[in-house]
Amino acid sequence: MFFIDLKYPVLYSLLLPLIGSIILGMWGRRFGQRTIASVAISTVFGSFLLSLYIALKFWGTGDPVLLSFGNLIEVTGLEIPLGFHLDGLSVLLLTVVTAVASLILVYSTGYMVVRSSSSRFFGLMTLSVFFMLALILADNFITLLIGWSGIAVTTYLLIGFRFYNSDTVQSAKRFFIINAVSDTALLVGLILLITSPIALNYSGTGAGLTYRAVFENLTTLSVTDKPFLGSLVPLFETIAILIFIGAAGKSAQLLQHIWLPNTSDTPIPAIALMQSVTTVAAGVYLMARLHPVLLFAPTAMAIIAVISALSAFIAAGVALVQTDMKKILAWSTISQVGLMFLGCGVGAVAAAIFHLVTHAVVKSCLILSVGSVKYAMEGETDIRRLGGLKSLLPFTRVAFLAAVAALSGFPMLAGFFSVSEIFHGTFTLPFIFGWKWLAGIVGYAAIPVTAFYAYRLYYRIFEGEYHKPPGVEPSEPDLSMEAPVWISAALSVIGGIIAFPKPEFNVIDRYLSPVIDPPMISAIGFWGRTEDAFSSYFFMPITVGVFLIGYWVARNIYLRRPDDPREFKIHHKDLHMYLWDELRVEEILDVILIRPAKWIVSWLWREVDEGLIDRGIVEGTGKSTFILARMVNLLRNGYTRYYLLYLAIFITLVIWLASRQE
Amino acid sequence: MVTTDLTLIVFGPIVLATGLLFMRHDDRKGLFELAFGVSIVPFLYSLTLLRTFDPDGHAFQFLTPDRFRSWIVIEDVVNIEYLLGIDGISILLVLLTTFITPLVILTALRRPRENYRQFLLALLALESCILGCLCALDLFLFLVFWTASLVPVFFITGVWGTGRKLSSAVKFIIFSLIGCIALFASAFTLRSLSTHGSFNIIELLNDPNIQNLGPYGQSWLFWGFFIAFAIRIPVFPLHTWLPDLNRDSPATGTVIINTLMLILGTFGFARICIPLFPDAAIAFAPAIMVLAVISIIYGAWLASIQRDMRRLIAYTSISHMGFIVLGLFSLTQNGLTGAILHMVNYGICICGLTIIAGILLERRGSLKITDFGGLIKSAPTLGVMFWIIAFALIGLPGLNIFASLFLIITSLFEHGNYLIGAITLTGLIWLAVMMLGLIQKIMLGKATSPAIEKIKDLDRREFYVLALLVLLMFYFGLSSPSLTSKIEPATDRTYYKVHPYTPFSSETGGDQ
Repeated sequence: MFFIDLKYPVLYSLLLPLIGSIILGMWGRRFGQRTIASVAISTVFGSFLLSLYIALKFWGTGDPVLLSFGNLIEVTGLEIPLGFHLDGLSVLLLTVVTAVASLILVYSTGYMVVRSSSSRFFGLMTLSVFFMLALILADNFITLLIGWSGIAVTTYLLIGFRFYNSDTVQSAKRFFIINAVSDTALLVGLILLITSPIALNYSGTGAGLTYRAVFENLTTLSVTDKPFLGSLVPLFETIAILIFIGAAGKSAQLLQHIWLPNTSDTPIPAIALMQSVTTVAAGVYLMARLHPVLLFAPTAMAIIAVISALSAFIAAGVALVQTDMKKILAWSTISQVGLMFLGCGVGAVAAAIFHLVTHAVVKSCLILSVGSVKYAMEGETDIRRLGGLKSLLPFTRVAFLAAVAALSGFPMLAGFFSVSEIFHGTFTLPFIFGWKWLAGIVGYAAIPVTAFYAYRLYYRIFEGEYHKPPGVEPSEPDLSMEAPVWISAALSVIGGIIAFPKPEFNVIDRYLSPVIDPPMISAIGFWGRTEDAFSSYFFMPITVGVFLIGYWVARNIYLRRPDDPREFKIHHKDLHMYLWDELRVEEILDVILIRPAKWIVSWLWREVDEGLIDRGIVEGTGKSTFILARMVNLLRNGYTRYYLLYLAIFITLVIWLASRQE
Repeated sequence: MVTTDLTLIVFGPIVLATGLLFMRHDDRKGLFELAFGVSIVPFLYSLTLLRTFDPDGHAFQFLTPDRFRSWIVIEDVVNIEYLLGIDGISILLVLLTTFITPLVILTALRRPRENYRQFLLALLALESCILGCLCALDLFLFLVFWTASLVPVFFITGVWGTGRKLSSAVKFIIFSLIGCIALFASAFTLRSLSTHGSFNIIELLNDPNIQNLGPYGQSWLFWGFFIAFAIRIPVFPLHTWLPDLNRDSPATGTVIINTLMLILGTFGFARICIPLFPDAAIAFAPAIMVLAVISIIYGAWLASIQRDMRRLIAYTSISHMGFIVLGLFSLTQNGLTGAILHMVNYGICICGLTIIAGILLERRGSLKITDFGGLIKSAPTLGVMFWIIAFALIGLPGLNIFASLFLIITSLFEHGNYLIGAITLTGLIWLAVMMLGLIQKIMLGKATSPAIEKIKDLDRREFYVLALLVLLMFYFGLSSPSLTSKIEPATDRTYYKVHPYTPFSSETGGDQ
């Protein structure tokens, strides 16, 4: 009975990380390193095992599982449960998140072994995983928001992990504020959605606040009441844009990206977790989860697709010229997530999730091996001072090369399949009209750039001359750090098989099509368009082609002469500086937003609060009372005749007033 | 339901506190124990009230029995009654008051150093006055408690305060007295216009004369009450007394002022302004909503540049009270419910924050923000509590403030106030900027002076107080129906008072 129902496995896989983090938070300071790590790993890994069980079981039944813990909000017309819901999308991500998180935690045991406050670190990592699971499993918008902002909090705390450094604190605060801005947009979007007629059941109550109810309403309306749904399209455009802003804040898309590259002092495992499975992935998940709304907002979709494609391209361009390993990978994440958003923007949601999965594995491998390099080189992260580590870190090198190849679209590796899938969707799906060509071409242009910077990173770290810093003896790290890197490298090599072309074995298709397809079909029906006929295989050779361009250029430049080409720096000085300064978004924001805001606020305090209200009105009242009193005092001059005069005036007044009454 | 329970709750603290007078003034422990015991009694008592309170029953319950009601009676001229009673709006606030006071006494074990006995007496007297305001159903009685509450606050600040304490206390008194004049004038005018010439709020609510005043007739009375309550809340631009009072009050006093005194203002709106003058409320709601939004943004902005933590807390209060006013004057069911809920949630959170400020003041001897930095190293538990409370105050989903904010803002959107709703939500950004800045300056970074490294973490007593508040934040954040089920029937009544002609339009999810 226990195992017939998936309820309990789902419940425990959700709660295990929470239990772990509570244990670490309450008593972690008393534990030794080993105990702390084993609590964190065992809870997350236990959650992974359960999710594996759920995934296998789910393959058979496929019935969604519902969990509910009372109501969060219950008033007239609004009833929002603290509910969780397991469907294909959540199963897939549940497995991936817990798996990658387990790897990262195992890695952390080696990486953090000499550091203090590891109970705080492991507690936060586990808590972050819990909130991600809560987000993935959430049943309705408010439960989703709880997971969503829980991720924000844990990310904030992880970025600011070394709180004694004021730069670190500043970047943590920067993250949270960007996040607050985007969350506000998201909240407006969700409230618009919740209060829209779509969210209401036809019985008139607002019980339809689960996604399923909203999306079912959408599906039904697209068949039964087209004109009504058509009249809501402007609303959906607004909602879609707001949700995009919200998701882009978490996923560090352009203009809201500034928090991600500036996490220099954050522990590497935390960066790996943020960039592969929690913070950045949360935005993509949100877009994927809410895609039925997007499908009825064609303009918004076009905007999202084009902006994301541009974001992917430009971010890859920034990664070209950076020299800090962590920064290159951060910009790479921004670029790759741009591709996922492109997928969501054109309606290729399954492809976007596929890319999310492969990217999670690849990026965690990359970041963790960069961590190993940093560990071996005692904190050096600038690629200008690295090089020739091929023979010193042979195992890390192979893993890193595999991940680089998978990231840049080397044929038959994980990234290759998912990227091709995204472009397949971009060029064939009918939602955004001709904009798909713009978005697709710009997006495709990001692939050679990706290949270039990825291989540049590899060549500059591992090939070429070995610069031996004084007093450093680089060697391969412990097994606890090596094994996760290897496993994730292996997964990035073979990861593509989860979208095996044969439909029976296509995991992505299996899990996602029940979630993705019905709204997609109803939307295509609603817009009255048909799909173009391009096969998925059509795009694979193109991907190989563009990948080879980038790879060939990088190989030619760096394998022979492992230094950045001076020609580019000299001939395109401005562009180079612009990319080197990471687009200068922060500086621009500082000038147009932060400084004026500070000035206005201090003006308000000085002039309005203290000046106008306090000195003007409040003290003015006091002073005028005083002046009035002085004037009245003048009447009191001691002459009896004046007093008699006052009396006469007073009596006259009284008589006059009394006579007026009649 | 007619009982004398409320009399015991309202007068319990002050009457029992007279016991303090018979104790030695230097027996701190004994004084503390007695005061704590005295304050816990009304809390337990109000818990039993909560248990027997029937949200779906009569509007006002636990009314004072008829035989005790007559208070100042001159045949055919004056009929002032002693009438106490509570409804869904006030019961939670009563509970909040009786709950917060023991916590405050618990955290004030070491301070103030001088005249501890008188201080406790003033504190308990203040509790009685606040409870009286919340329970009074006779307008005159309400005025008496309202005015009486000024006295303990004046003494708490003026005697046990710091810095320019007298000037701040006098500023508060002057502001409040202007409010009192408006209040008295409106209350007596209201009485003279009513059918029976009584101050009884229940009678006034159903008085045809008052109902038929029309929007312009009601507006004078409405503004009279409004000014008084707006000063107490405080609404921009009547707010400048609060930061000063906050800065110069003793730590314990600020808890009560921020948590309970301000709420009386919004409670006055919910109890008097809106149900008694519904036409005026509808007519002026847009203007008041704009004022509320200005308060929200202005409060958050000004909080972000304060140099003193207690002034910062004061501006945070102004900001949050703006949300409550906004919810009340959205004049929708969910907005009203959300506003009442927000009073409770805000009370819990700001109480926590102010207690933390008090702890910091006690440890460091100053609350200048620049005197802190890197505190988390020496006081990690304090830091965690601070963080949770700060996150609650900036409306993080899952914590209690979010639930009520969500109700308020959803109701705005539901009724087409998109612009106000969106601007209000940006207030949360500013609050976040401000709170994180505060945490950064106090908790994070390097320790700025050796004194900070010596600051002790929470002791057991402080830990339990704050942990209790934090637990409540989580509990009410994850299950707000436990509160809204009590509030909703009462706010529904207010709503139908305001919108009498559309009693059942809510069936289709609001009157769109």
